[in-house]
Amino acid sequence: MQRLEVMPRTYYDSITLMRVAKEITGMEGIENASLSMGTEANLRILAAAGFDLSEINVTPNDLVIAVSGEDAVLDEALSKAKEYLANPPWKKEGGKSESYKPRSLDGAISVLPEANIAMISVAGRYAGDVALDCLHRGLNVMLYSDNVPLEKEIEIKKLAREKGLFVMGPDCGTAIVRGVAMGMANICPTGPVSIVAAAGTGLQEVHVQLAKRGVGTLHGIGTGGRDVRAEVGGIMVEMATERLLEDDEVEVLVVIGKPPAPEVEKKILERISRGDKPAVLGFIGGESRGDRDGVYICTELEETAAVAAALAKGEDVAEARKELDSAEESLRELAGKHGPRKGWLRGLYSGGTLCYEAQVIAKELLGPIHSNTPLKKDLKLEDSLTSVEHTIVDFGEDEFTQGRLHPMIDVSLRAGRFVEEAKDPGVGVILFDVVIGYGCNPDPARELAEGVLKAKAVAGDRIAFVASICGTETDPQNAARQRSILEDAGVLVCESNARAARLASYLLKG
Amino acid sequence: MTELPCVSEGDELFSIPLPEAGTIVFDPVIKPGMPASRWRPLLREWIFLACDPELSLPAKPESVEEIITLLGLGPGHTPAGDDWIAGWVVALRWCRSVRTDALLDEFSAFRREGVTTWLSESIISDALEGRTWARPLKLIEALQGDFMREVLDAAGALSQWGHTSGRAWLAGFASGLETALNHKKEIST
Repeated sequence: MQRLEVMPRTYYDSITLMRVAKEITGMEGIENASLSMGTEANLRILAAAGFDLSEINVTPNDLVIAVSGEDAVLDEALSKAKEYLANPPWKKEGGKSESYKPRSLDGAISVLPEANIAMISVAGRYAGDVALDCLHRGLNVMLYSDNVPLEKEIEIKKLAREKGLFVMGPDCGTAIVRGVAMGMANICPTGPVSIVAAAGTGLQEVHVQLAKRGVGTLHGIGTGGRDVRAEVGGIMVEMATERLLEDDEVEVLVVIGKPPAPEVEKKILERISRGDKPAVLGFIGGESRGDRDGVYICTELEETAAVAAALAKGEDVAEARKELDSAEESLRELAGKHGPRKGWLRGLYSGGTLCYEAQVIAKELLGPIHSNTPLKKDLKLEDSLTSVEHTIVDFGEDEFTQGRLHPMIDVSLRAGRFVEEAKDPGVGVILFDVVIGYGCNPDPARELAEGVLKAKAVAGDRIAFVASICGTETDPQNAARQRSILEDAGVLVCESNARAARLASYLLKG
Repeated sequence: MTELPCVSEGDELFSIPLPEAGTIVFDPVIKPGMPASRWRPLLREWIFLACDPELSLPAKPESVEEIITLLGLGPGHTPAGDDWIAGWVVALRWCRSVRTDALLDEFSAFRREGVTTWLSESIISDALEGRTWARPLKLIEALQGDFMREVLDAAGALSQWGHTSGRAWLAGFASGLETALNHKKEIST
């Protein structure tokens, strides 16, 4: 049985909604509980979870509470949900009062007049104007918000360039300034490498892979994924590259992302070539090949980090690449041991760049990969909740994050999707990423492992689960502990996203 | 004397002897002053706390007549409207001038007894006489200085006073300061 209730024009932050849902799901007799804003995407997710939406009238500004389970407890569950929203039980009673937090930009500046960067995390339709306000006040901007219109991004970045200020983003989830991480980032050492990236999991993966090789990062400047498009012209990539080439503390420069527009790539190459420090270009799936005069061209994230680490340590780049080749051999052996598997690959990702890299690698080995963010337009999924043949889905895309927590914070959607994919008799391998660090779920492996076990209960040994962990042992979640939890659930955990995608493909390819 | 005497309804009041050498542990008097200019943007922000959904008070009442209508507005032992007024009065007493005195005289003239709770009436009366509680005085002291932590801690403590009282008080306080400081600016120009 199920009940749904709509609370019109009611807003609660996504963290509160997730926590209340978790409390209600834990009640005796309750199978499923969901609290989400009534956006189109969330309604589709509710429908896919079996809720009947035909009787409700809801707009994106309304809160929908949906519970299913034993009839006798559903009313109580609804009532408890509303009580928890009004009085969250996890909020401390009594104790020391909290300091006042300014609500306006001017209020915040009056409190911290020496601030030189503002982090913006408001709805995309307002974020651009807030960014302009900040730039007019002389602040650099980290624009965490997504759904910022392209025209606004161009306007913001042109103003920033005039003023000599940085705009990191939009959709910049990760940045590092003088070793200080902002947004969703990992605890890694500070060192001689600096990175310019679109600013999400690509930056995190390289940052983490460098740390695994004992090399630290000084700056990680996020430019937003659209910066390298022709319309934006690479404004921030150019500014960041320029600034890092001039910085004496930066010994190796890394630039990563999806392949830029040709004119932007040309600009980047020209500037780097005039610089006096080695640079590594990691354009994932790019066409360019061949290192040239202190510029090293890579096509995968781990490769980019391995080459940058070798340069930073004064080691042989060719040797670093050879090590990756022998790692590939080991993957083939591992695939031989656990495979071959029949059927389709299903990738369920929280990181956009990691999803992209997985598609690039899997495509070479398995053929066309369908996705909600496909490499080619004709491979776009009609419904992101329904997989087709080989499919790799980015759950961090806007359709899943409007009025809903990012999958790096709330892993429940992916954990539930493991079971749905397991019901498809044609599925042979499920591939996923686990991103940890600041701002991420405090223990993602636990809930994901539960999903894996439920999926195995449905599919038996038919499906192999393959994952990688983007994080370090010094992260709050501890990469080693996360790995252990997943391995206990029978997941094959690889050292990098590239290796995981490769292993998943070898398992099916044979 | 370490305990308050026990009194019942109908008892005759008697005078309580004070120790000869007593230590004043708290002085409720609002000493004239003004906030450091650095905090003006923060003060402007507090005016709009009045617009929080649980308060729904006017952010910038146009006149004393409009302010009078806030008396008794809202639930609780100290209705939000009264808290706003208490903050407003304290602000005008703090940044005292001929203009602020005139506004408060006008308010006193319009004010009627019995329209709100005894507690609110006491608080407002005390404020009109230039006295207030510890938390507002702590904020006033912090606003005269230059230390961010002191201002944020004092404002935080006030804003968490009761369910809505603190925010309503801050909103009225900020509105009163805006009036007082604008008047001082007019005089100086």
